[in-house]
Amino acid sequence: MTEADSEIIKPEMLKAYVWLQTSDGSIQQVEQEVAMYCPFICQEIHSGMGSSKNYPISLPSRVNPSMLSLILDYCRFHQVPGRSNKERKSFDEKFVRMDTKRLCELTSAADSLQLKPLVDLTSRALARVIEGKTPEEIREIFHLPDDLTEEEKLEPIKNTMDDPRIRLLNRLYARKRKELKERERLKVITSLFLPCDNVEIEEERGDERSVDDLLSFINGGGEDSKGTRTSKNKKKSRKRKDLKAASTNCTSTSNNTSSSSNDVDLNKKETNELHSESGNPSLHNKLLNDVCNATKLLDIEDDGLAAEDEFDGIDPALKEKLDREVEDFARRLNSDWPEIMQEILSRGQERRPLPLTVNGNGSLRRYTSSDQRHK
Amino acid sequence: MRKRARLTEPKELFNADDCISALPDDLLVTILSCLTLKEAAVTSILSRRWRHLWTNVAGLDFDANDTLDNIAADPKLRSSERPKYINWVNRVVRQHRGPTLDAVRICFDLDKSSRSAIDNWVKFAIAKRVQRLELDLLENGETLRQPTRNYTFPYKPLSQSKGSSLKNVYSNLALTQPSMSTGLKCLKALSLKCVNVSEEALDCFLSTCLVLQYLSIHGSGGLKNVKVTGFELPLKYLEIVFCLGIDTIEISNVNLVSFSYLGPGIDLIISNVPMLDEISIGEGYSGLENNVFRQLSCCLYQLEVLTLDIYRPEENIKIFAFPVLPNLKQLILKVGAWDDDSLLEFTSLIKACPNLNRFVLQLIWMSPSKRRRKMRRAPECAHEHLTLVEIVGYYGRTSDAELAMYFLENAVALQKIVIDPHNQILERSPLGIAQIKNEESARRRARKQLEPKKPPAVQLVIL
Repeated sequence: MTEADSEIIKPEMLKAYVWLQTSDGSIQQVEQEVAMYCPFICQEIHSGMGSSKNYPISLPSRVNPSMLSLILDYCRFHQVPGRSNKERKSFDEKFVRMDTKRLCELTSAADSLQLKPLVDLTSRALARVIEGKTPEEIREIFHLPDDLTEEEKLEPIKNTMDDPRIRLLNRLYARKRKELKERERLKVITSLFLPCDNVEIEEERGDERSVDDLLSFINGGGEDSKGTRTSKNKKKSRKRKDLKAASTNCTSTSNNTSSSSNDVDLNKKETNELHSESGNPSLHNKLLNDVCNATKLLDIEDDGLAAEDEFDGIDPALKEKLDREVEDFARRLNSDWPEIMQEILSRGQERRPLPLTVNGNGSLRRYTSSDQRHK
Repeated sequence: MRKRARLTEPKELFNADDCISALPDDLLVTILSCLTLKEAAVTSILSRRWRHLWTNVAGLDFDANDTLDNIAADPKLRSSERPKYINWVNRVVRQHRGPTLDAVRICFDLDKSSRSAIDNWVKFAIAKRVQRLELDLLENGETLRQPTRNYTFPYKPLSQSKGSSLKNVYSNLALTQPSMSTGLKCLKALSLKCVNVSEEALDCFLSTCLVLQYLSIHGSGGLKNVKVTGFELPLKYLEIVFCLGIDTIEISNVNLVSFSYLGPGIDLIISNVPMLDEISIGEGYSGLENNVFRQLSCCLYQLEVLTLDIYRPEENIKIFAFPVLPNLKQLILKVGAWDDDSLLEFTSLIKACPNLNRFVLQLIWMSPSKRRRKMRRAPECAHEHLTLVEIVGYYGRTSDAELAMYFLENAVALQKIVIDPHNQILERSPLGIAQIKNEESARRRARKQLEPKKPPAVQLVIL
């Protein structure tokens, strides 16, 4: 159809032409084979447009005349079939040497004409502009608005948890790990003198209490003690399920802090999904879960989710603030102890847990029985 | 402590010079996809709009090659670098917002001690319907470790619905059974290095991954009998390298196009593989153990590309009667260079490929040494279709020159011969001076040996 047209309209020309209209209203005459390289124009031609000056193809608004001429240069080169890959690559490299503003405009125009190879080329060029530069430099090159708050800017650098409470938990876990390592060492020493399981059990249960409390505090907001207790129990059972699976995955960490006896226990006792309320069997399972807890914390260390590394980058002001919050946190924990004690005693446990507190300089230490203010 | 947000312009107007902001989000993500992951993440603090754009990037390549180079130089660094890598991946995984992923690549020295973290990443990738998944957990980023210390691919949690068994406190993925099997159905390419794959897991890949075309397993323990059958399998490319417990590999009634095996001698059963035209094989030290040509007999006729991995070319290769490979277009030999052993016996293999176009000899410098001895000659042969010869890892020994001369003299259709004098063993530790000197001498020897003897029609390229 186009051939017939060109015969009538331009008998002296051998080539077929199409007419393109840009956003400013001006109309250009372009060789058809060049213009057809753009999928958008191709589609328009097939639906009958562009064959004469009176029916030009309306190009999308993002294509202004200077962009159109660039794009047509690109098409004119690449639509020739005989070119080698080397030639094409060399042309492309030279082609994208322009200022970033024009690159952006070109990307936009090429995208609207659906010319994917050119979009990829310009995107890569823009990526090269971005790479290796600091954010300030990038903002300057592209004239981007600097509209993030300071805190928002700091976020990607430190732990990017959305929930600040989880960050606190991380901090406490880190302290817990230190505490556990201490205890492991103590265990080794004490086991030489007191080869008794009781000591182990007490210590670990003390851990579980405070960790669960932390979780329930975080999740329940710590309003009333009853609420704390129920949510704590829920937490425990869910944690048990996690731990059961985690227990089958427990392996020694690169720091070798998990004791081999724990692993052995886990392998023997794998079948439990209990809630804490039932009688003596729960003790057994509690032991298992206490042990799981210890190793779960160590697992977390593996995952690096609570890695102390993450906190190295925080500025000191923030660090101080977190320290104070942690102290606050732990102090509120201590006030819940009466309830916990009641619960344990009501289940007929003989051994009292050894709760933890925070002393003046922010490190955790164990209450001794003489320190206990409440009974 | 909040500082007021600073703006260069009133909120309503874009800066007139700010053209990039006129681009739609998906174009910006395309641009970010051209950057490395770390570079892309930096853009999150450019401005409000850019905050989460990078999290839509479709390909996550957790590349830490620089760190691995450092660890290779000082292995003590591993214990401090591992948590950092794990942290990094976890952070990105947590923040990723795009609904799907094209590719995920984990490349670091990780073993079973980081199991729960890696499990999480695998689940994340599959839940996002990743198409290409690569777990490259080589020790020091370059060697295979003892399989007992390897991470094992989490087969059970993916296929059995035990609810949220590994639900992580920090995980914001809702991992239910349907999403896992849907995810697996999108997997096209899977590459596992130093990851233990059980036979059940392998069967699962083959049966559940309905579009799996590329499967590569390096250094896995736990595999004994590998069976790949069924014309319904989409698998095109299978690669098994140094999985030491394997006894048998059976490939039958399947549309596999390329098969690669490297390791100890095994019982290799290949039958009815009509599309198979590329094989890379190395059984045992000699590469040809267990009469490998007999094992491959059913597909020798159709082969177009053959690669042989011959760690120790033994004297008795001469005895080998090489079968005819009538359709072979490319022959690639990877041969260990010991002392100054003659390579001319390989010419009888080349002779058995009448239609050969391209021949490559890759010499791996084990303990090469140049000996002064007379150059031998192999029986003449025209090699009428051989147009390209490449000798990679040219040391300059008499045996190397012998072979190059053979081609210069015999291959009547030869257009180009490429000599590459570089050491083929690529280690992370940087090149030592002795190494660089070796390569220099090799280059010099190549020029001295070959340039005078080159026929006019042949292009000699010494890299």
